[in-house]
Amino acid sequence: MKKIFFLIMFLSFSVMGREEGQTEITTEEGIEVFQKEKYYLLKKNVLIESDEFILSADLVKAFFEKDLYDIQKIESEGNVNFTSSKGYNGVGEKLDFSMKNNLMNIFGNNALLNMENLIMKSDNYIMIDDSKGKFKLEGDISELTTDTMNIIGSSIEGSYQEINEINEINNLIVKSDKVTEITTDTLKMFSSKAVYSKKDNIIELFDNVKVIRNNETIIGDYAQINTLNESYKVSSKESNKVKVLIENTNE
Amino acid sequence: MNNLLLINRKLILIIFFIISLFIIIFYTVKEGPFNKNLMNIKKEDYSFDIKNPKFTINGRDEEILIKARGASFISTHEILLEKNVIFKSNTFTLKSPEVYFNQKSQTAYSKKNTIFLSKGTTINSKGFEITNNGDNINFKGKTKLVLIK
Repeated sequence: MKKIFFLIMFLSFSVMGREEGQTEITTEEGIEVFQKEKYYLLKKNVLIESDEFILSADLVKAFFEKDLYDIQKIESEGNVNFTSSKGYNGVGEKLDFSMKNNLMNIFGNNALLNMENLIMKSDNYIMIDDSKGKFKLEGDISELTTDTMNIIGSSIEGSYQEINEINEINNLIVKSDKVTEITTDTLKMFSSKAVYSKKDNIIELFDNVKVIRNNETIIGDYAQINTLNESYKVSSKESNKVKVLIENTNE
Repeated sequence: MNNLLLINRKLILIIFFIISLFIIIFYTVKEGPFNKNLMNIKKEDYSFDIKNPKFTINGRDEEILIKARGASFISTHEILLEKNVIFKSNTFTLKSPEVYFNQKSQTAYSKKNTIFLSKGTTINSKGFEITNNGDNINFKGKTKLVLIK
């Protein structure tokens, strides 16, 4: 009896579920196919499920190359939620995804891309080119969180590499009209511009530099921080003098 | 033992069995699926203006064959295609139980369940509308699209 029950359950799920290699799309208000323009419009509560990703949105425009199944690019709008088979999760008001080159653009006030050990947030725009390992965040407040650092700026641009299923930052350029902020376990760094190189194990800070460690604050125009031992040197352009503030907390 | 009564009992059983058999055969023949369909088809056929309509229209790049079991004139240019309506071209097949077709504008729409089949594509919807010489197909209502590469 139990065997028959499980067989019926299995057959039911086999009939209902999506098969491997299939892309299943459901919409509440239909699909408009524009054969000449080679795209179709998926309307209201759209859900796309494939081997590579799951996407839900209010409205989706899917561009195809030859036939409908041959989707090349997706433009989605309204409460977009994207999860890839790699475990990447993107959330935004608008999300464009190109299957051809694994390029994703996320737009919106609360744009988010979670790549497990890399978390990107912006109040405007996030771009990730997974085939080239490049990313860009733009907005008044953009934030990148890695396992070892938290970076805040208005523009964060860089490259990453997947090593043993972990995405590691190779290079980083952080800019801000106001001030960029980089935080590690022991340091807090502020500047107008910051550049990180994993190869050289160095963070360079340019203009309006402020480095804080424990009770020590150093102000200057330029700083170089060794990320291995977190030692740093700060210099000043004009006077070659830097300001050191030491706060004594021992009474 | 009364022999006369024994004979009667057997006879009654045989007669009852034969009558039952006749009744079953009669109802099976009368209510059988083939007979029922034939009768229905005849009734439906009389209600159509055109029986088994079959014609082609020019799509953007290809001819589209349209066929149905019956068609009725709605207005000068519009006909209602009914029962097993099929739009077929070299690249797709579209099936619906009821389709309104405008001969002048070469447009078609349906509010009934629709199945669209194309290479690697199956679409199930609650209706459709074909406009712009087949360039635009609008699948309406709750729609499910299955794509296979």
